[in-house]
Amino acid sequence: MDDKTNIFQELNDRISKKGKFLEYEHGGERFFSNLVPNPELFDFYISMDIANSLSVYHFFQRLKLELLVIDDNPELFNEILDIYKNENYFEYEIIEVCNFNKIKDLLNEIKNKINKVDLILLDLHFKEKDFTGEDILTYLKWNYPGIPIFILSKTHDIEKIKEIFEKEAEYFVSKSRIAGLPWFIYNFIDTNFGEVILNLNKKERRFLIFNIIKWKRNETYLWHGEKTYNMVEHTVHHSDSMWKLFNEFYKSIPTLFDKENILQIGLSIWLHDIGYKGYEKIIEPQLVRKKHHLITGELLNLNPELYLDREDKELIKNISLICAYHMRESPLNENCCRALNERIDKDFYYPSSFNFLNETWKGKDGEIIYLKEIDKNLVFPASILRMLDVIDKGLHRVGREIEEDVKMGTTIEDTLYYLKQLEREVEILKERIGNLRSTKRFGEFFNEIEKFLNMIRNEIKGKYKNDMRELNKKMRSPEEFSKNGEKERSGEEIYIEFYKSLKKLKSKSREINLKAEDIFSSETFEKIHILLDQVFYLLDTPLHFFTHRTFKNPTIEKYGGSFKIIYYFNEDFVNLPYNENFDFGDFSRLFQESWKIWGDIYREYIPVKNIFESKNIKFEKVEFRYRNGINKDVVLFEFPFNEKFIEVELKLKFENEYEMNEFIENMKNHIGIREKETKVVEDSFYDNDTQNCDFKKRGWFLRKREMGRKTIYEIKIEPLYWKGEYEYRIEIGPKNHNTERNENGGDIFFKLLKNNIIKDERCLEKIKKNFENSSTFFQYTQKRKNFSSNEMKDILFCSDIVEVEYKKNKLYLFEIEIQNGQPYEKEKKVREIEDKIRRFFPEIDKYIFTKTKLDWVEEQKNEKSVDSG
Amino acid sequence: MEIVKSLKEELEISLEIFCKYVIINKDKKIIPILPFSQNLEEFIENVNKNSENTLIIFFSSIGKDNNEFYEIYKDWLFVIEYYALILEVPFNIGLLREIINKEKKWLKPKKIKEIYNNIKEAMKKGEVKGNGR
Repeated sequence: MDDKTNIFQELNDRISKKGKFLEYEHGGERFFSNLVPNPELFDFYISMDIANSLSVYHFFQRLKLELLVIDDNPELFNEILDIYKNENYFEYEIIEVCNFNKIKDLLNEIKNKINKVDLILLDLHFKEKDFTGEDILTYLKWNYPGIPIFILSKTHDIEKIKEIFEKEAEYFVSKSRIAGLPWFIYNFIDTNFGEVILNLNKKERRFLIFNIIKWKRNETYLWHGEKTYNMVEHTVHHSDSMWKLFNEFYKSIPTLFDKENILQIGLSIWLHDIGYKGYEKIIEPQLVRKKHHLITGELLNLNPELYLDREDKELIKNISLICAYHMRESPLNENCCRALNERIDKDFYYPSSFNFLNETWKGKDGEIIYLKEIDKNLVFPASILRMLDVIDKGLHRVGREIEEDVKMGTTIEDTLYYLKQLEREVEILKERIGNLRSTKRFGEFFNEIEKFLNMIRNEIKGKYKNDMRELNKKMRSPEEFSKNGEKERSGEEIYIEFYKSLKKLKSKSREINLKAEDIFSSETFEKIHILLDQVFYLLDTPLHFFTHRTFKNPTIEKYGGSFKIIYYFNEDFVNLPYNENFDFGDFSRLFQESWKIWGDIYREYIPVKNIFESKNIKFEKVEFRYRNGINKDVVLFEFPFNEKFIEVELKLKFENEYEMNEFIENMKNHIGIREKETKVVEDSFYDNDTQNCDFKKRGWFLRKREMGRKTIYEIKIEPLYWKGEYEYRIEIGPKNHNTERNENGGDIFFKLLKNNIIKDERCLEKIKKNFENSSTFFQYTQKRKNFSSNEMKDILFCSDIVEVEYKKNKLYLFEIEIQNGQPYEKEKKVREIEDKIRRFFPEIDKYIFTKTKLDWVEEQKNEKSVDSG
Repeated sequence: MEIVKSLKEELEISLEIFCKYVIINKDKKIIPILPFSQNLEEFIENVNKNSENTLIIFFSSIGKDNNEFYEIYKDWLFVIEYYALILEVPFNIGLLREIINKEKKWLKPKKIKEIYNNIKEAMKKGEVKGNGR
């Protein structure tokens, strides 16, 4: 017992001290006195290396590596390799360099052996030879760029070591540390490839590892000539990060993946975005961006040898399909399409303009090419790829600040270029319709679109450009973000304005698209539609960058029976609750950015949810955390993947009661709604009037609604950013909040936040400080009529006549709110109703009301006060 | 139910018996295996069947990056790295079974000692043969 414990204590001692390695080597009293490492230090290294190597024994039992050692003096260490070999750490073979006089013969010998080895250990100096290990390294890396090479040398010359890394060696092992070889190999494989590759057989594992090394070393292998340079990074860093996410995901549910799946997902992670370079039929960046997934599939089929040096038609077919279906609009199965409720990309209808898809499809013309029907085993890997792709967001994708500046600058120039293209396309369209353009209907449309393009140009050249630059600068001092300067606007003010003005342009663009849909066929208007989309994509770019920069280290974690996705805030870019001057503005920004991330993931998750659920996998929420001190995680927000979390509605505003009643009568006749009840509702809004905590201007509302005896408190948040068509809001319940007598608006606000989203006490305390005096700042009464419909049971129809105190002003609104279903369903239902209404009420556009009721009331109030002033 | 006083003591006994489960909760208190056998007989049976001669230590609620934990148990880091499965609470029986069923091969202490001494020996020989440093 004693003997046994001693050995363990010694091994423990070595591992526990490895963290203090440097201190030991340089500062510790034991080793400090000599320049040359003394035997005691040497002893310490050996024990530490053995302890480390022993601790990864199980790893090597699964790996069964074969090493090739190229050395002129192997007897120095082959005894050690033998010990490890006898314990099944690895197999190895030695090529003794002294047996070869010419480098050519040596290289031939290596060539004969290389096909079965997993890793090469290469010495640097060969006695009495006119060639060196470096020559071999260069040769190997040129001809077999993927094979991992560990340099094994006695040299401590840092210049030499630098050189060999420049020549792309994977690792340097000092001969005096050879005892740690298994540990170094483990480190290399674990950091770069993770546990997931242990489950592949030898052939597939070699194939994957060699390819990844090759692709990581030189990104032009895969991504040369990408057309969409404005976008966030989608090459090496993105793939590498997705690979890590995949490892984390895999660890929790290993049994769900078979070997084929692992190889397919592994390769797809690296290949899925190669389509960004375009191909012979699609070269315009705007189209490349939209179709890159399909282009990837086509490229893999056209030139498989460029990307995968293996003639395995089945594998290539599978990878290209998984990659081709990694975007949201791609139909994995019927459920996915149903959940999506969006138009499926027309290239997924047979016959597609992508040949590789047509070749796999045995169905009829006009049918949707479902991946499930091509090969049902590919559906799961494709959905995993989608999720990993959307989760991977963060700092690592936006490069350094200077790169960000350059990209943003180019964005402006590019947007102006696309505007020119747009103008040209409009001219072409005019030509095409000939005399028709002078008719009122077309004439008005062309006037409008030309005006709109001018408006965008002026905006970009003026306000947009200046704001973007200023904001970009201000974002970089996070602690100043929400602080008002004496003369200039705060970062936050610009941030909010920036989002709002973009939103305005976007809604105008939507209006134009809708009108175009009415008067042109979709093919005729397609080019303009795509160009407009590209312009808005580019205008959004700075905001994407800011969002990515806000976070780092996405991870997936198993949480009970389901998964949660975790992001960490980047403390260099945002102000966090542990800082003295953290206030509501900072909090609101963190919330907005988190919401964007959450929204993106949720939209991607909905269509594939059914596929995950069939495998008993459930994603439950996204957590946003920050690090407080060393290794202490604080969860700041928790956003659930819950349909009730957001509200989608269509609001119509009328000039007067007569107009509204006429509309309601129409609704009764055509949609079949009928009057249910009338209520008088008193709405009170809370806000705080101190400069730093005005939450209304940031899109936060705390509302107290009284209907007879019933009182409801709600927080509504209007996210600055949403990619969908309709107005979105977050609603935070509970609907019935039991208030205590002395509670003011601030108290209720915090209670609701605490129970629903904010998990960090410190954050609550910080923003609460400025909130003590929060009180009712505005009230109005509305007469609400509810309607019901037999056909559309989960849709709430109601008409509101809002009366403000001064009586003179009344607001006439009709609301259509979808009660149940996930966001796509909600959007679809709104769209269906909108279309229906449009049929008998062609001028609906002019009634669609995207501003909040409150804003309108505020406006009236201000006008009033100006009048009376 | 006997509560073992320290992790060190528990580990020593575990190493001696070489088939033992230790659960450490978030307060870093040691909970012996007993609770398992009371509630989850089937689980224990499965564990025993699949992990003959294997030491599995479940550390619950202690993340791998928990410095405080490592500081306290620094004398047993090799054992932790080599043998322990670090889990977070709450974990379910399915997860445990998954881990236990997963093949994980260990060297026995005697073998560890042998390898350790042999490599040390070989390293020293190699050094002498080499540049004499």
